[in-house]
Amino acid sequence: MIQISHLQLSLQRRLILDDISFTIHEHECLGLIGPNGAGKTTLLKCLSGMIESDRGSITMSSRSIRQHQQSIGYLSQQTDFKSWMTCEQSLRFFGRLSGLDRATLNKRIPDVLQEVGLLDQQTEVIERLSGGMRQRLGIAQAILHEPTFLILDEPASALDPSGRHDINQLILRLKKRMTIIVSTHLLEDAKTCCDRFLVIKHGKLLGPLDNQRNVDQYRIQVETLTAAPSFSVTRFPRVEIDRINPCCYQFSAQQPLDLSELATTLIQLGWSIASIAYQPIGLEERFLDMVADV
Amino acid sequence: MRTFYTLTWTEWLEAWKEWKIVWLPLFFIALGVTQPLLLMYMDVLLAHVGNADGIIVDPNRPAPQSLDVFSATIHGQFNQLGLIVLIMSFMGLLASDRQTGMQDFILTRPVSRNVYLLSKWFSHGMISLFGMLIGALTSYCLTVYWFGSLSPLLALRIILDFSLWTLFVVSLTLLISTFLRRAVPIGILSLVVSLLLVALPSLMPDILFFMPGALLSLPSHTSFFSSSHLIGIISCLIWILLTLGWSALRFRKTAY
Repeated sequence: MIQISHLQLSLQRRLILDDISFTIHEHECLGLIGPNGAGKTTLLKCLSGMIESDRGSITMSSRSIRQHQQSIGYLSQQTDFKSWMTCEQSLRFFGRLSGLDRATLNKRIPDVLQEVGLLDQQTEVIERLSGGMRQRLGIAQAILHEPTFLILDEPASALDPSGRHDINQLILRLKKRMTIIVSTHLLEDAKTCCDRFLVIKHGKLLGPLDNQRNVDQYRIQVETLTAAPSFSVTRFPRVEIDRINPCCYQFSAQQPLDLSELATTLIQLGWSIASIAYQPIGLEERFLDMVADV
Repeated sequence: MRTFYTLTWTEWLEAWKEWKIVWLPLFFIALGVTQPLLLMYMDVLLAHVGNADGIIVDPNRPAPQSLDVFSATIHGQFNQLGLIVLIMSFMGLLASDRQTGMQDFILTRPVSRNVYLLSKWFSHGMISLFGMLIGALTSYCLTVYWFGSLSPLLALRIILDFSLWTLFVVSLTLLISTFLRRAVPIGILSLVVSLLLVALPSLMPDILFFMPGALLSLPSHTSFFSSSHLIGIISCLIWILLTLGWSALRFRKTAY
């Protein structure tokens, strides 16, 4: 378990991270979302031990994260690497820096390249790799030393849909043996691999955003089997009624609506209800609501 | 030590892949040849410029001495055009790693920031010295061949002084790289500060004898073991250590 407590960081007299506390559970994939300049990358760099915070602590198994450098894998937003190196040379370079010996590297490099789907590009020069391949090489260098905590900074932002799909599938596979935190703008994509999300804006944690389907208690959608009979709107004080089509109506109010009460009233009015449900809210919509208020 | 070796070796490999190992010595060879060549054929060159009769050269003017020719090569050619090209060659020593994400990938591993900085300083310093020394050696041979013998100890002193100055410029560029993020402003500022550090001690040698550029203001016949030279060497070494130390302090907060 990784515990982040009251993290605070100022750079050039500007508060970048403001009293951030949260926990990442083992084998969980946590999504970090927020607008540009929210402090996501800085937070991830603090988690990686690269930046020391002014206040607060980051602990992993009750010890400072800095004592766990060997257990951390990090993928930066930029994955240009040394473009003259081949994939193998690049991994060998990072492996040596991680303290892996030659025998271990000889075994690990093909395994890792296989895992990220780059085995055929083992001797390919990085300069000739596509954006998606570089991103996968970035993940390969991050998992080369078999870390238990993986930090991914926008791993799929610059990729096409198929590239994003590949990265998400890879993250799903890695999740089985690692704890992962991933910053992203692509909420719909991240939904497939993240268990929950944290929203950050202006360096402040706005709160969690779980990956469950949330509903809007202020809006109810009713579908009928046959066209709804005419009714007086006075039966529904302070409720706005929108007719989407003859068999579909939307009821909205300024306060939470009671689903069963509305259903009873409509049945009394002679409606043959096919379905009645609160309006679902998408992850992106909830995120936008959250950041708009701050 | 293994980390230092890995980082340094990669910098050398990169210099090889970018042909820096080849073009930098070639450039300094060209610089090293230019000054003796110009002085050797000055009469011929001057005769072909000016009016139809050319420029008349005083036939009784003293012949250039080998020490003056060699000193002019190092302190003139090497410290002007050479310095510009050297700074251009290593102005991105931190900025390029920052832009490509390499710095993040390296520093999130068990790599000390000081070792990372030191490897940058050492590898770029050695690559620069390698190019400069080959050029200086060529110039020395050509000067001796055309202008007569030159004390190896004096030549060594001039080369050593410029080597120390080069190492100081590398550490200065490293320090400026911890303040600025882009390679071009880093290069321009390094060049301006370097030129000032050479110009000021030559204007006030008695006051600014402790400045790193003071080594280049010493008269060409200064003995290797003279007190002014030894003070210059010690001052330059202290300046190198100070700039490296300051870079390390800055890099703790700015390595991202």
